[in-house]
Formats: sequence, C-alpha cells, structure tokens
Amino acid sequence: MGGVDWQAVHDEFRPKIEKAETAAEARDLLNQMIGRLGLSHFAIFPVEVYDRMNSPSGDATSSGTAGVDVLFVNKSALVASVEPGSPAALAGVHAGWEITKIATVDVRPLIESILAVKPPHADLVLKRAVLSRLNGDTTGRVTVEFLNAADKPVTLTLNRVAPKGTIARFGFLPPMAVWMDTRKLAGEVEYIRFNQFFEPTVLMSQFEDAVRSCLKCKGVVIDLRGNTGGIGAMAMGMAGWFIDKPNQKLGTMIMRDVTMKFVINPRAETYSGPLAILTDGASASTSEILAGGLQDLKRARIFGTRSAAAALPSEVIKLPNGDGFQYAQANYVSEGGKPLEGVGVTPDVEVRPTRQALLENHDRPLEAAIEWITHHE
Amino acid sequence: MNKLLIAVLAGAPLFAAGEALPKGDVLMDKYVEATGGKAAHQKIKSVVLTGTVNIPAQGLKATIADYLGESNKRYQVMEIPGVGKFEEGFDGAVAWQRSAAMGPRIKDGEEKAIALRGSLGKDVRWRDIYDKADTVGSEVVDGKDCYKVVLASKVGKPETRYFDKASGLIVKVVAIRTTQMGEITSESVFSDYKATDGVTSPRTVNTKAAGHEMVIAFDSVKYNEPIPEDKFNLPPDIQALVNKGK
Repeated sequence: MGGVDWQAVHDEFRPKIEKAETAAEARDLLNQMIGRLGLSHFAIFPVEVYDRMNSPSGDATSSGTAGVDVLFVNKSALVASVEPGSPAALAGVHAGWEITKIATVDVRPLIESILAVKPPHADLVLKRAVLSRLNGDTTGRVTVEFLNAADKPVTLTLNRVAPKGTIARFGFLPPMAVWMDTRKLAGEVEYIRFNQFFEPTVLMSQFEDAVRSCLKCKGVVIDLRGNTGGIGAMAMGMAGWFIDKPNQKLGTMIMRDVTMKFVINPRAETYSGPLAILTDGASASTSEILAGGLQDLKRARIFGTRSAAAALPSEVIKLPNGDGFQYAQANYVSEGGKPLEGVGVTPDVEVRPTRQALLENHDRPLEAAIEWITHHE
Repeated sequence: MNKLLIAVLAGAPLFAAGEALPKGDVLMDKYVEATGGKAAHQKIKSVVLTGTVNIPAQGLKATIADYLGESNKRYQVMEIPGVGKFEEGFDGAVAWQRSAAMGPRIKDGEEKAIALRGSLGKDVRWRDIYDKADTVGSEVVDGKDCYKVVLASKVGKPETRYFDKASGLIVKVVAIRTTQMGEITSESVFSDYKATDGVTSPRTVNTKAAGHEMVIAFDSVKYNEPIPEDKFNLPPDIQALVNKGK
C-alpha cells in the first residue's frame, strides 16, 4: 500500500462512515480514505453522475458548460480559453479574465484551501474543483464574477449548453463528451488538440486525417493541455504516425503478475518532421504516456509546464449502491526508465502562461512550439 | 475424508498414490472421440463462430465472430461499443492484427508461426502442433475430477490441459501466449458443450488473463458454411504495410 498502514486508515474511518447520515457523506469519507494512498486514479463516482448522464430522454449531454476553460496562475483561476459561440463568448468573456466567484463560492479561498493540503496533482485537482462548479445541468445557469482586463469586476449569469463533441461511453466510467480540433497554423503547421483519449473509432480517424493532410508539413503540434487521459492503447496508435522504426515502445505497464509493453506500430506512411507536444499540470495519464514516451524516444519536443504526474493504469467497477469505483491496477514506467506517477513529464522548454499574455490573445507555449518548428532544420 | 482434507490443506492435487495415469496422447485422442470422432472432425472444412464477450468487472460487452477456412485462413473480429473493432487475420501468407486504438501491424516470429499452423482441425492433428503430451496428475477443476496434461508445443510455450475423467472433455486450459505487448498467462475454463453436425464443442469459455476476466458465449457454431473468399483479404492498411515491406 505504498507505506500506508491501510488497517489503521480503515480503523480511523470506519466509525465515521458508520455515523454518516447520507450516501454523499459516506462517499466523501471514502474519498478521503482512498486519498490517503496519495496516488492518482483512485476515485468514487456518485451514482447520480451516471443517472444524470443517462437520462430517460436518452440525452446523455445533461452535463452542460458555459464554454470556459480554466488554468491557474499565482493561485488565481484564469479563463484559459472561451469556446467560440458559447454562452461565455456571447457574453464577452475573454481569456485572461480572473474568475473570482462561482455562484456562492469565492474562488481564491477555494484554491487556497485545496493547496493547503498539498494535494498530489494539484493543477488537476484545482481544475476539477473549479470546472465542477462552472459546469452543470444544461437546464441551469451559473452566475460568475470575473475581474476583466482592466481588473474591474464583472458579474455575468451564463447559460450552460451541451458540451461539444461525441458522447463516449466506456465500461463503468461516467459518459463524457470527447472532441478533437485540428487546423493548420502559420500555413504549414498541423495543430491537433483533443480533450480525452476515448472513442477511438472517431478520434483515431480524425487524428489520421489530420496527420495525413500534413505529411509534408513543416511541423505538427499535439496539444495535450488539459487532456486528462483515457484509453492507453490510443497513445500507442497515435505514436505510430510518428515512429518509423519497428520494436519501439512508449513504456511498460507493470502489474502484479504480468508486464506489458506499450508498443508502437509504425504506419505505412509516417510523419517525419518536427513534432511538438504541449503539456500543462492537467495533462494526465495517457497524455503523459504519449508525451513522456515520445520525449524519451527523442521524437517529440515538449513545451509548456510539467504534467500532472498522474499516470497509473486503472479500471472502474460498480459498487453495490451503483457508484463507480476507480482504482489503479498497475504501475507505469516510461521508456526512459522513470515512473510517471509522482514524477510526470518535464518539458524540454518550460513556458508558463501569464495573465497578460492571455489577455493579449497570446498562447505562449504554442507560440514557442511554432517558433521551434519554424526554425527547425 | 481425511485424505481429502490433508490434500486440500497441503495444496496438493487429489492424487492417490499408485493410481495409473493414462498417457497424455491417449487423453488427447480420447478428446477427439468424445467430441465426435476423427471422421466427423475431418469433414469440417470451414467454421463460423459468433457470440458475445462479457468483461463483467469493467462493464464491457462485445460481439465476436471467428471465421476459419481452408489453408489455415482465418479472420476474427471482436467489437466493443465505444472502443471499436479488434481484428486478426491470416490470409495464408500474412498474419496481421489491427484495432482502431492501436492501428495495424503485421505479425512475425512466434505469432506468425502459430497462425501458420492454423486452428482448423487442430484437435485431430495435435501431433503436428505439440511434440509431446505428458499426464502429470489429477486435479479437481470446476467441480470435475480431471487429468492434468502438459503439452510441449512445437512453437511457443507449454500448455496445460485438464481433461474430465468421466467425459474426456477439456475443462480447462492454462497457456502462456506471446503477444506483441508481452507474455500473458491465460486460464480458460470450457463448459456448455453442444453438438453441431456431430461435432461437440464448448459454447462458453471463461478466460482469466492479465488481471481481467472475459466470458465468451458462442450463440452460433456453423460448419462447412461457404465463407466469401474476400473475408480473408488483407485490409487496406495492412496491405499498405505489406507493400512497404514492413
């Protein structure tokens, strides 16, 4: 148990759980309990999440969004980007605005209370804490207080709409919206961004189209910022577009009784030019497997900030009350020999976002990647 | 009763000292007889299996179809909603595998050799596949008293089979499979044997491997149905790899 006296943890929490009056209270205690392991990929998903995402109307998109993505700079929650056409965009929200209050929750104290317990994978935890409050039922609205570019307070009540993308279902994981954006930048760089590694029949086809459309391009950028991971095998499949040599691997998954290599299957045609990958503190799990493995193979250059360090192969089972329970079932070591859990992927070029850059519509990590590609020989 | 208790506590197989064990090759041949006989098996020129795959702990359900033709040709596809198809095939020359997640690849080495030896009629021609079959003891498996036979493969790792003493049918197989990702030990329990055209085969296979359990239930077993030849054709991305010489 990684040095944790699990029996002692059990003895500490059992009386508290026995006194819990609601399932939510018990679940919170169980989450604290498994949090003592200090590892990623241990979580309990409330049955209500499944219920909400599988409503009788068949609409599995009832987890709505106002169209705001977030990142954290100096203990502030900033608008990282605004989805075009979203309620936030229509209301004039801009990247770089600080989010100070969501409904009745003051954000800075929330951030400080989370950071005070020094959670592993802090950016991931912070992002979930803020987005879970911004996002919610598509029939609802959320009132958000911002500080705009002039540091003036702005209060907006935003509708929530169905998230973009395809609704992906995988085993006992709650359904989720999965999307991929691809476009040409600077006329000659293929930019690929996607939010999770799921729905391979859709995403892998889009990924293939994007790479094939640019086999002679100056460079490719894969943006894994905020990508919390998913099906590990997809990292192997994606890497196959950039590795031409056989018998290469991204890393190794180590279970109790078996060791499995994350092998790369080279495609008949591969992209051989410069490959940049963008990461941040919310790039987790399979994102880290892909970025870390290609970095170790010296095939990709990583820009941005250190990844979440949350990369343990896991599975999700159903508990008797309908909740989902995710637990890690293996360790993972990248091809360079380092475990990713607790260590993460360190960028080759550290580029931190700043509020000023966001306000001026600059994406510093992306710009640094394009600069490198442009001057790469 | 005491002998049973001691054997269970010691973790030893239920093996009475002095029991004469039938030879492994006798049990292998007996299995062929128990499942319809050599003549019935040899009449089979093609097999089409369809069914479902359940991975209960992860809540995943899939469909599966397996086509076996002459000259060891094979095409197998498992499709999991939300994940896509996992396909394998052999057209007589090229052994391959592909999936939406991992992409296409051509098998070589041990994997190709196993594809070359084929699956059609393998129980009858087991001597072409295994160097020897040694009966090493008895064990109770899935509630049945079984003979334990270790097979030395001509290609690949040893395999252990458990034959029901009463019926001669295979109850369990423990095998080490070489896959692209590494060696995986699998334990498969076979049950629900049914006959089609005079040949009996298990309709349920419960396999545990790499920490996961998978239950395959075949709902249809057809012999000698015409299989369109293009079923075994190489998919375009596999053909592209062949063309590139990978």
